[in-house]
Amino acid sequence: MSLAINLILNNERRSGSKLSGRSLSRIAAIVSPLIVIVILLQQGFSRFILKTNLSILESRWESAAPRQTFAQRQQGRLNQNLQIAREIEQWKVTSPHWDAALLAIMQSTPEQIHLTNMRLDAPPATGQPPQTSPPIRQPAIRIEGRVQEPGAMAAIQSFRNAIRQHAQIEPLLESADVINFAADAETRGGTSENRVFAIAIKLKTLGETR
Amino acid sequence: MKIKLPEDRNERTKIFVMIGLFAAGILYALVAFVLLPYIASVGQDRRRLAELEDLLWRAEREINSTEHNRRRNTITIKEILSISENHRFILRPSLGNYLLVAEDILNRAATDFPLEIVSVREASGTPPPIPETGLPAGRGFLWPYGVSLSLRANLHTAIRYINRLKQENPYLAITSLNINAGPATVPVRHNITMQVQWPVWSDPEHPNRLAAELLADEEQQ
Repeated sequence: MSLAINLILNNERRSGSKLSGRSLSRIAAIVSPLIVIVILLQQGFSRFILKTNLSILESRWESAAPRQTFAQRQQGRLNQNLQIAREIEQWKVTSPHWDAALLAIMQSTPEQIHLTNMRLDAPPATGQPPQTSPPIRQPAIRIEGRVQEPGAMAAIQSFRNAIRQHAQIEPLLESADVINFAADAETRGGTSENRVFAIAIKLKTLGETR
Repeated sequence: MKIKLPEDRNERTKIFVMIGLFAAGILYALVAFVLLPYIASVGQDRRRLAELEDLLWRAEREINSTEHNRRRNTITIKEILSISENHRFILRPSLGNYLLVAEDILNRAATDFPLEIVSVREASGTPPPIPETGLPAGRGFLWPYGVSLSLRANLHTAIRYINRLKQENPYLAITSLNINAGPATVPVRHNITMQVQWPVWSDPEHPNRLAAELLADEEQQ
């Protein structure tokens, strides 16, 4: 059994540490309001800066807005006029050069072939109403003629190939086919040697397809 | 002054509870009526600032392009007016009549050629009137005006005639051409029919408006 005698009462005891609950609470009592004041000042200052910037930008915007409206109107007018210019240009692009095509057909026609009818069409492309501008055209040529046997078919094939390979036609060509070859029923007093034929030529679409 | 707390434990607890409640009330009032409105106001100002910066950036970009656009617009209008008014590539009516002008063009191009123009008829009418609300959606600024032309010529002359029409107006389009050999006689003159199409203004007043716009632009310079 041990016997301990306390010479100091509990409430007379003191800590050896420099940090005590009381000193900490005193420090906190000074530092906390300081921190709050610093935060409030900083907030007030940044708010002031924000408001100043805002008012500068508002006044800049007030002076820029009418000039922007003018610029937008100018841009709108330019866009409309560019659209008109494009539409006019489309008319030029979609105009078929039938003179060159006719010349090419003339130059490709062999002597034994007699052409009876030629139809060159550039109707609006499929699905486009006839009165649309700018037009998109789908050019096509139909050639009808008469030729005598022997060698009628060969002459027609050679004629078709000559058209296909002609420098004026070849870059624009989509297809060229003999679509009719028959005995000529209308030849009066003629022999059964006469043949009629038809060649259909499709050229590439002229104009922008949307 | 020294505040002495009551000795009674219950009384002391009540006082602490009241102090706690009072502090919580003050804190709530601060948060609800000061802090949150302040944060919201700052957020709103920041959003407005960002919005204004964006608006100004766009505005400045558009304003900076004004001069370039004005110059480009002037050039474009001049090109359009040159095609429409100077060269008359876009068919303009004479006293409201397109056919007279078209007939004159076709007859003039036939000068010096051994060909006979049999008839010139209107194939597709003039553009319908523009509604007050402006051009309807999907309708362009131009409208095709077409005539049907019948003539008698040999093939070579016809080719030269078509070539001359195209040389004089590259915007003109021959949309249909039919050459019928006819009876084999010498010299050969074929029956030729063609549909000739010109662009015309949907609104015939449009070139005048463009000219006025050009004048206004030039005055601004």
